[in-house]
Amino acid sequence: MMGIEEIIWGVIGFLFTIMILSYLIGDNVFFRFAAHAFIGLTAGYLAVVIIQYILWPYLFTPLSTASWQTWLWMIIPLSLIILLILGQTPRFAGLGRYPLAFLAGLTAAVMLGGAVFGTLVPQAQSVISGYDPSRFYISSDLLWLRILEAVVMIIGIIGTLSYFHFGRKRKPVDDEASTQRPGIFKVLSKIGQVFIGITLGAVFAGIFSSALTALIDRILFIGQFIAQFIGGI
Amino acid sequence: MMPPLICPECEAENPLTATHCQACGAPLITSPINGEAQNDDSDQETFERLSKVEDDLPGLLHALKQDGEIAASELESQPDGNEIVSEPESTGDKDEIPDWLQRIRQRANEEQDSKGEITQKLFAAQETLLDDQQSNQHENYASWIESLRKPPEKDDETNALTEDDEQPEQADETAADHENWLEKIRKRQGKFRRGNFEDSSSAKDLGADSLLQWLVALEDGKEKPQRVNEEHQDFEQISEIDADKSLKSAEEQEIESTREIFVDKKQSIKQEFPVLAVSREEQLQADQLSATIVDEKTPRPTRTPDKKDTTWAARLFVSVILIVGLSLSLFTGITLDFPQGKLQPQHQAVLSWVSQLPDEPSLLIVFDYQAGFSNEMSLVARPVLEAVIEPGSRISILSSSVSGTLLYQRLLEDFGEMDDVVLTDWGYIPTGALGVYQVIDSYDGYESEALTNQLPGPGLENDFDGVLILSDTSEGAQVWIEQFSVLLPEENIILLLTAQAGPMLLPYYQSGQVKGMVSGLSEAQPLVSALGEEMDVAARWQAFQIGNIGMVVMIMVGVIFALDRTRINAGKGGHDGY
Repeated sequence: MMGIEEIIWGVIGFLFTIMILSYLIGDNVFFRFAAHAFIGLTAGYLAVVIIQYILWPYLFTPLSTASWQTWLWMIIPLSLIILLILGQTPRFAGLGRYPLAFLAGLTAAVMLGGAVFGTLVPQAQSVISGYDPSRFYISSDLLWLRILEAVVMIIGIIGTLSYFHFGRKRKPVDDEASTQRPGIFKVLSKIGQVFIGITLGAVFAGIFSSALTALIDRILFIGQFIAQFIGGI
Repeated sequence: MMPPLICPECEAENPLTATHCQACGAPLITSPINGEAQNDDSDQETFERLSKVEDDLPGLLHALKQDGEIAASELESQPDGNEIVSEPESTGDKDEIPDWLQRIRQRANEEQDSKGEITQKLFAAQETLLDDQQSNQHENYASWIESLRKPPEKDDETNALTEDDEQPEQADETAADHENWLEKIRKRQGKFRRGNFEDSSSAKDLGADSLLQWLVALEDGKEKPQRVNEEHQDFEQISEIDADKSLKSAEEQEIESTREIFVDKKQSIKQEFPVLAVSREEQLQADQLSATIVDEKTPRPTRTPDKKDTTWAARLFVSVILIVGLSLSLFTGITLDFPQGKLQPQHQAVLSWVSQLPDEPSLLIVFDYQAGFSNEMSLVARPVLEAVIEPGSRISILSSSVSGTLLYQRLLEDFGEMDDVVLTDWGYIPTGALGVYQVIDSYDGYESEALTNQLPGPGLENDFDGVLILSDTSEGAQVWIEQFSVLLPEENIILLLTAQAGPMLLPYYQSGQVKGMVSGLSEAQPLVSALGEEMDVAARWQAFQIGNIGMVVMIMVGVIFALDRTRINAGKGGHDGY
């Protein structure tokens, strides 16, 4: 037997699910209503979360209970906060650049360090280690498969990088040749296109799988809600 | 020789440069009359012509005479005697201007004070003649004007115009002896408006600024020198009073004549427009710009499709087929024997990590997915979490998505053994990479101890047995992997991902940065079987396979239709439709 609360929230969930699925027949007022409702709820919930998990523990609590050493440390973020707020006014719009520049520079530094030492270097080492003979003989039955994997990997890397090479011939014979890439890059870029196509295909398959899983969940929800609603009545 | 200035007091002759009479000391330059200062600007144009002539009166009269001849020649070219003509400057050809007049004008332009001197001298002469009222005081002018009345003995006007202004006496004699140019103008004009200028005041009102007119009036003794206050409207009225007006009573056959020249100012300005040298390319660009401006302002109708969009029916049909197929698979209990998924090395690594966990493990769980993927994430993460969470476990929760704090409650709410689990919620960590860096850096103890004690923060312990990252995007999980790889490379990272995030993160497992990973329902299904968890994933897995088959069929049908349309368009000579 369903309670009144379950019925209400079940009906709301059912209606919103139908509204979203109505996009199958095109954009309509029901879909827009549901989308706007979700956007509004997300924005309101985000404000509550930021106050609860960011402003209160990291700003208000330290200012009210912290010692003078903490106050000294809080001068820097407080100054940046004040500048950021003043930057929202037209008269002091220029002051908002300083905290934004600080954030942008700091984020770029963190992301650059992570990209280089967290992705580029480890991935390069992984490709190089693919040619380590000691790894070929981990299991003798997969020897040729490991060698083939290493070869395909290096071809894919070179081909993909060649595809994004936008240079031109150093010594063109005519004007038309001056706008074209060297012949070796033409061949490699074609190979790179194959690998890029496979990668994008895998990404598309993953997106479709996630969407299909979500659709299955919604169909299950609708079916179970109808069954429970009819059974409850 | 230039005529000298005559003193109004003693009638003595003085040089033109004198400001006071050399005989009696009386001032030769009179101050402007009242109101003249206010009319100075308006009279500026009136005296502009006078300022361009020589500073002696004969030279000035020569200039006036030339203007009169030019005007007469124009009138001669207009048989109708149209009174509306353009200004002499605009009608006269520059080549016809005598050299001496050009030099005069050039000198007037070069010498800023020339106009002032001329004006002063004219006023001095006017005052002198006005006060005296005696004919012997201006016999020089009278004799000259008298010579004008005489019939021309020679009709050689050109010679008189080309006289050099440095020889004024010769020029005067030539003008007096060989021409009566003013008479000729009057005759050629042929129109004498008797009534218009019987009253000399009317002539003044019409802007009679001609020096010749003034001289004639002076000769009659009826006219007092008075400057004219011009009011310029659309037309400028210029009046010239014939010199014979003063002799009207004496000579009845001579009729005073007044010729009014109306100058269309707009027409004059229009004629003075400079001729633009525009190349063809510039003209094309100008036309294009003009067309663009016009085109931008042109109201356009809203876009209406050429044909009604009927694809919504196809989309609806395919969707209904898909939903009906999935519903039948989920609710009818029909069981299709689809092959089970196989465990991949990354899945086996997860199983290996789970089996090696100590009792009461310490785990960090990162929630980095949105609510829309909660069901899929539940299918992927739930079997792993049920395998690792035991009574007495220490679980730290971090959310890098807004709804993470709610999602972990929903995910863990059905766990029956959570009462004995030490669960710590560290809340929401914003700002992406920067927040991740701050979290990892703080719990690594990399920060100074004093700062860590003073600043509030996660305060995470650094002895986690594993870090489970639940993410629905490859970018979100990538940030965590990169920062862990830099700051804590030895940490065991397990990725529990949605299907769309898995493919791009697989290289991190192959490079050893990630201990193990599971993504999507297709990989969760064999993992559930391997872990022996009791989860109802069979029906979903079957529906998932049916959906995949339906998707493959739709792609094939779409490719066939696309190829067929391409062939049709190619036959019609159009584009391929893409």
